[in-house]
Formats: sequence, structure tokens, C-alpha cells
Amino acid sequence: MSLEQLLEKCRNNDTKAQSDLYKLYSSKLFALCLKYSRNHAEAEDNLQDAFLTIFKKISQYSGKGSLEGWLKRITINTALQRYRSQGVFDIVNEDRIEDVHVEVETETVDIDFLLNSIQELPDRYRLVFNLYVLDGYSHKEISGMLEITTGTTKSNLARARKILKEKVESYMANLNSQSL
Amino acid sequence: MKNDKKHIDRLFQEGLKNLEATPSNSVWENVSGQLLNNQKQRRIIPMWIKLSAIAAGLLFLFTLGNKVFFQDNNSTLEVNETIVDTKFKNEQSIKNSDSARDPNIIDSDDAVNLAQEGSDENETKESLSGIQKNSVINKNESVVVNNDESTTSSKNNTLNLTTKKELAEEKANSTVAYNLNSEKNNVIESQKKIIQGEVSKTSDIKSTIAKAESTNELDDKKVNQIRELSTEETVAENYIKEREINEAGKISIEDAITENSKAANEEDKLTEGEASKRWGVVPNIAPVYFNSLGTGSSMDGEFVNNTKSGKVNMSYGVSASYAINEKINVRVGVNSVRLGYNTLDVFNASDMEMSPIKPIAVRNIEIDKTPIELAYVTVAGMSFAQVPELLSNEYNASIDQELAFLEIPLEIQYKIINTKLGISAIGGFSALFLNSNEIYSTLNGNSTLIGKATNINNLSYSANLGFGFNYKLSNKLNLNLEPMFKYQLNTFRNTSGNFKPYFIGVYSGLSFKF
Repeated sequence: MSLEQLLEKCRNNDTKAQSDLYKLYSSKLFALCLKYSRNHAEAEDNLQDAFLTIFKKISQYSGKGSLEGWLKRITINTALQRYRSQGVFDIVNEDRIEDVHVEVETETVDIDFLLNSIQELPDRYRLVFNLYVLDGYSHKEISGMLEITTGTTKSNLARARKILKEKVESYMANLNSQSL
Repeated sequence: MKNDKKHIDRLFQEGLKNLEATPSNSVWENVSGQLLNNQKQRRIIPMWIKLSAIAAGLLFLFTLGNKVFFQDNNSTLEVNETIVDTKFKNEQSIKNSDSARDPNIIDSDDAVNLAQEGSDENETKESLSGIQKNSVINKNESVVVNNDESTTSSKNNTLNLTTKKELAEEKANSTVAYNLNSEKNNVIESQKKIIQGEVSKTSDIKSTIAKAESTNELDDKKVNQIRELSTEETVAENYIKEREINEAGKISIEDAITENSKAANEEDKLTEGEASKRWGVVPNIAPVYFNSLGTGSSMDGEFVNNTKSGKVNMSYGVSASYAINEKINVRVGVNSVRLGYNTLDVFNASDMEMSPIKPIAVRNIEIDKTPIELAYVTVAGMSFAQVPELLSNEYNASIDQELAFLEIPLEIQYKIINTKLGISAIGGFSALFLNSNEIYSTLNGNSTLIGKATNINNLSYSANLGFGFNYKLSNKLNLNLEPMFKYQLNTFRNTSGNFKPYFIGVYSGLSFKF
């Protein structure tokens, strides 16, 4: 069955097709949710909401652009929507910082460590870092999505990088001390 | 150990590039559950609308039947009015001691019979019993409509048909029965008061009516509540395993149910009050003119070009109408209609010297026979013996086809103007059941039955179109005039030429609204 046929069946609320589409994309989209969420449970909630939205809006997918890209956008928007409703994007007074020197000495880093580091970031830093670094959105786009200024997104990104750098350095130090 | 300087962004980009993770199964379970729930919601709501529509319809029919038939029964038939006490309360029951009636069976432990004196009391009781009976039956109807349990509904169906004695016996196992009993007790009490007090009968009757009605309303509400509760239970059972998301769905279903109940309640109110105006009965009579649109013959190709003259006959019948809303009426009826036409200029081409026609040939005339034979038969079938002298100079005859149908029209009436003088458009179709099929030969005013057509369908249809004019004589009485054109679709088989039968009728009648 082609993807187009699968989509057509999903549009007709075919339960089997919906299940197949879920199986095809759930692990990729769940990874996305994990990066945008604070923890595993929240990521699952996001994934659930995202798929509900996907099946609800599947008839709106025109076939232009990749399906995966469309699914990812919905998933990201679902996550953002969750934080928007929680007031995460509300303006808070904070000192803006310029970008810092964020090169780290690394070897292969454990993937779980990386994920945990991101999840532990404050919500807005996490979202901005994810959007800019991992999913390639520009500051302008991000400022529109989060309804904040580009100045703020840049500052948030710098802070995220700083925190992550510290985490990585601490992680590396820990690793080195263990290996010694 | 390899020490590379790496930008933090790159570290995370590369590290998380191929991240994939399997969510727990509960995610899909929730998603699919929710999707299913959404789909069910979509289906459930119209289903409930349908069910309530059916319920309301049945309620209407029962109420109508009750109104029309049972009230008459009370006044005309000697219904055995037995009141049996129940085991719920040690109420006294009253027995009608009218000796002309059958002996009544009562609960021997508790029942005390109060003999009535004088015919006035008897009448009072009769009317009271009538009221009680009506209200009991009303309740049964709503129960029948609302209760899904086949056992109870079958019981209640029985209840509809049985006397109160049987009602009491059926009381045992349901809240419905409890309602019946409690209501019965109420009515018994009020009856007691009336009989014992021997006060002014009319006012007591009124109060009893009021009481019975209020009890009725209360019970209707109860039944609605029961229905609501049971529906909620079913819904809850269905989705009890699903998580909080389903709550939303449940609530909306409940809302829908509540709305439906409200609608049903409103319908109930309508039944009692205004809705009485929704129904109408229209006896009607109409001159109908039958002919064919095209040149053709239903009998034989030889007659295609013969002059035809349509006949004017009568149609009469009655129809029942129901107003769906202010604009649209649906109606169904029964009409007896006769249709016919003459095929003129049929010549007698038979050889007068031939042997006389056997009677059997006359009776079994076939439409498909050649006109010569037909004419031959026609002449023989006519008053050959009676007026032989005419035959020498009169060879001209006509063949007259006479058909009669039982017509069942099903039509929709759309009111274009709805004032004192109303105009409406009418469309629909009729089923035509053939009940008479004769062919006559006419010569010099003398008609002789020569047989029947073999090409008429026993069941055929017509498409109906027309206009309706009605004049409101009062709120309940309308005067109608409806010119209708009815195009017959498949009345005739094997016609010749372009035979397209139709009939036009101008139906006039009085419509009684209630």
C-alpha cells in the first residue's frame, strides 16, 4: 500500500490505516516530543495530543512537502501550544546575554545524557534551543512562534548554550575522573 | 581518548540526529480510544435524534389512538372497571357494583368494596375510571417508547390492551410498575373521596383530572430521568476503561441526551397542547378527468389514431396529514378513483352473415385482437338481438375502458402562502391498486360489457403534482381546493403509439385539524 493510499484511508477514519501511520512515525515523533518536553511522561502526552491533531487534520495535508515534515510541524506546534497555555512564553524580565564561547572538548557523548540535558533546561531555553539548533528555525520564525522578540530568542539561545556547555563540561570531567 | 573542540550545537545536532524512541503502548491506546470515541459521538448523536424522533412519533400515534378510540370506548362500551388493590399499601379499593356488569376479581385480602348508589355515582365513577384509564395508558405509552428492555415493553404492550385488572397483575418487577401502582393509589384515593363525600360531582371530576394530569407529568419526568440514567450507565460502562479524555466525550453525549430529553419533553407538551393542531383529517371528493398526453392506445395499434375522449369520473376518499413544521405537511390517504376513456370511431367490420358469436368469446375478449375481431365481437356483444335494425345502418361504435383503482397517495405539501387564504405546492406519488377493469362497447347509447383489458398492472404508480388552496374557516377547519395532475407511470403494459395516461382531479374537501 502506498503512502497516498494509507493517507486516503486515514482520511476516511480507517482504524487500521491510522494504526499503520502511527507505527510508521511514532518513534520519530516521540523523539521530537522527548526533546521538546520536560520528561518522558510529558513527551507521551504531547505525542498523544499530536497524533489526535494529525488524524483530525489529515484531510488538510495537501501532499505538498514531505509528510514527515508536516507531521513534525504539527508535533512541535502541539508541544508549543502546551507551553503557551502554561504561560511559559510570558515575558519575564531577565538580563540579556550575548552569545558565549560554547566550544567544548568532547568525545562520544551518551545520547541519554544529551537528551536529559535538554529536558532539564528551563522551558523557554529548551524550546528556543530545539527550534533553532535541532530543527533549523530562524530567530525570526521562533520569535513569531513564541510571540517574543528576536532579541529574547537570541538571549534565550545563548543562555541555553551556556547551561548545556556547563553540563557537558561537568559530564566530561566526571567521565575523565572515572576513567583515570 | 580523542579530544575534539566541538561547538555545543554540533554536539547536540549530531548526538540527537538519529534519536528514535518507542512510546509506551498506552499512547496508542489513548489515541485510538479517543478517535473511536469521536467517531461514536458523531454516530451516537444522530442515532439519539432518530430514536427520540421515533419515540415522539410513537407517542403521538398512541396519544392520537388513545384520544380517538379509548374515549369512545369508555362512553359506548361497557368496560369492566375493576380496581384491584396492590400490595404496596393497604388502600381500600372500590368496586363498581353495577349488577349489569361482569363480576370483578379483586384482591380478597385488602379490598373493600363500596357499593355505589344511584346512577349518578356510577356515571361519575365511569368517567373517573375513564380518566384514570387514559392516564394509565398514557404512561404505558411513554414507557413503551422509552424503555429498551424487550420484556418490559412487551408487558407494557399487553398493558395497553388489557383492563386494569391485568394492569395490577403486571405490577411486580419494575419501577414502571411502581409508578403505575402509586398513580393508581392516587386515583383510588380521589375516587374514594368523591364517592364517600358525595359532593358536587363536576368540581371533583375536574380536580381529579388535574391530579391525574399532574401525576402523569411527574411520571413522564421520572421516566425521562430513568432513561437518562440508564443511558449514562451504558455510556459509562462502555468507556469506563478509558482515561480522562473520554470524560469530555461523555459529557457531550450526556448533553446531547439531555437536549434530546428536553426535546422529547417539549414534544410531550406539544402532544397535550398545541400539537393537537398538527394533525389533520381531510375527507375529499373530486371530479377526475382521464386522458392520454400523446396519441396512442392502450388497447391496440389499430386504434392509435382514433379519436379518444376522456371521461370525467369521481374520486373520493380521506387523507391524514401531519405538519412537520409551519411550512411542510406530509399526508397519506386512501381514495377510490374511477378512470376511463372512450375510443371512438370503431367500425364494425364483421361479416353479418357469419355465425353468431359464442358468448364465451365475448367474455374473454383480448385487447390484443385485431380491431376487426374486436368490432365483430363488439357488435355481437351489443344489443344485437334487441336492436337488429340499427346494425344495418349504424356501424359506428366506441370502446369504453372503465378502470377503478384504490389510490394511496403519499404527498408533501409546502405552504407558499400561509394566511387566511393559503396557497401551497403539492408533490408526491400514489400507489394505484386495480380493483375494477372493464371494457364496454357502446352503440347508440347502449353499453355492453365485452370483457376486460389484459394489460393493466395490478399495482402501478403515479407521480402527483398540484396546487392547494385553502381557506381557514376556523382554527380547526379548513376548506381545501386542490387541482392535481397525476401522471401514471406504469398502469398499462404493451401500449401502442404514444399512450401517456394521466388524470386530473380537482379535489375539494374540508380539513379538520386537531
